[in-house]
Amino acid sequence: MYVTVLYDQSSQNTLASIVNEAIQRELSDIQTIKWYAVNKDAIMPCIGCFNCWIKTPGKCMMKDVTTAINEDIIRINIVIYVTPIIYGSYSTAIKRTLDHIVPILLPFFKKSKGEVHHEQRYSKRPNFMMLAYNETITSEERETFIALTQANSVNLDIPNPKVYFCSAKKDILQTIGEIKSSLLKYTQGGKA
Amino acid sequence: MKKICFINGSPKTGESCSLYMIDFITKRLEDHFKNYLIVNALSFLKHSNKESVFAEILSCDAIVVVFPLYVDSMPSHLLEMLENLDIYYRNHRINPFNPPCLYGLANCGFIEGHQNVNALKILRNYSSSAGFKWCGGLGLGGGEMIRSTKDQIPLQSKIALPIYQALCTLIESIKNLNAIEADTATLFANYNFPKWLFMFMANRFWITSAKSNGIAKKMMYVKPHIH
Repeated sequence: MYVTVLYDQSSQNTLASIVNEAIQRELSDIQTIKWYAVNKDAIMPCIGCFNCWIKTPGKCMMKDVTTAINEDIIRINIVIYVTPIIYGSYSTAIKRTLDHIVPILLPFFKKSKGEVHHEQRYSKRPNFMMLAYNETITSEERETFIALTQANSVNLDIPNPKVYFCSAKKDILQTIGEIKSSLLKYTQGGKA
Repeated sequence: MKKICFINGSPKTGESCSLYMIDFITKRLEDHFKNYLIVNALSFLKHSNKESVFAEILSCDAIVVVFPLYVDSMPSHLLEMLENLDIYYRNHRINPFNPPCLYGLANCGFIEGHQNVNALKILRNYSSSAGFKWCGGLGLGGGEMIRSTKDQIPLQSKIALPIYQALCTLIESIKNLNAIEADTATLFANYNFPKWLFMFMANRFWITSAKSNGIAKKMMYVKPHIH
């Protein structure tokens, strides 16, 4: 089982550093995890040039950490996004990595579940897991985030991600424990 | 007379569907707003005096956030700008008893306007968190088509009529600083166009665009990350 964990290192969120440290510590015995400390200012925003479809197919012109992340994504089993949840969205840094996921798709459209979506460039794609944290998460934000991750999964043609919310320091270890159990279950052949 | 601000979430420096929409709306609001401000979210992030821009935005009666859909939500640079605006507004509490009206106008490349639903919900949550007056949003399908066929398929043509009518509803709401009268104050609109034809045209568009860069159709399928 190969896992990539992306966590937001640039967030000023009050829980950010505690969550980031805790997840690295608690999952440190899983040898096949690759870690990405994502800094929003180290990634150029996607400028919608579509060169990754029509000029350099499959590759973004901008070279930053998202190049390596995309190379991993089509090889590994699970990606865990560790993100502050703001307004029901990923944080800016994590969203920036997702905006750069476009090269792993094809520009061509297909119909999926009655809607128009992009065709996939690669046959292998990982499952997603989300750890979304903030001291205040409203019910609307929670609902929006779940719907957003499900829409992402439809676009990437992967199963609905498992989403873990955490809104208090005292719950961090338990939430990460649940993620770890889920990873171990996946290793044993079950579903993550 | 009232003041209005458009926040353009498109990162494109030239033509974009978002800019076309802003142009379309401003032309129809000239009699209702004494002046309007257009702030490009991506350029803003490099602005040397962000606070003066925030103060100007918050002096407006209406803020319209116009953006392309990026991976089911708003582009990261727009999210970053809006988060900074939220923090500024919380810290300065400008006119808290009469907050600006906030509207959203999202467009996506897929033909279905409803695929903008999560992006507009995020904007609604944002409005609630920041303390603006949420007046609703409009999600348009076929964004790239709206821009690239604006001369061949005018918005008032039969094919584009649902989009035109939805835009008129949004414009009327903005004129009166009212919420959009629709379920959950959110509207979605698409071209009157069969999906198969839309996909056929869009796929041809990408093949032609790649060809103009010397990329044959077969090359468009390469898998550079598999060595």
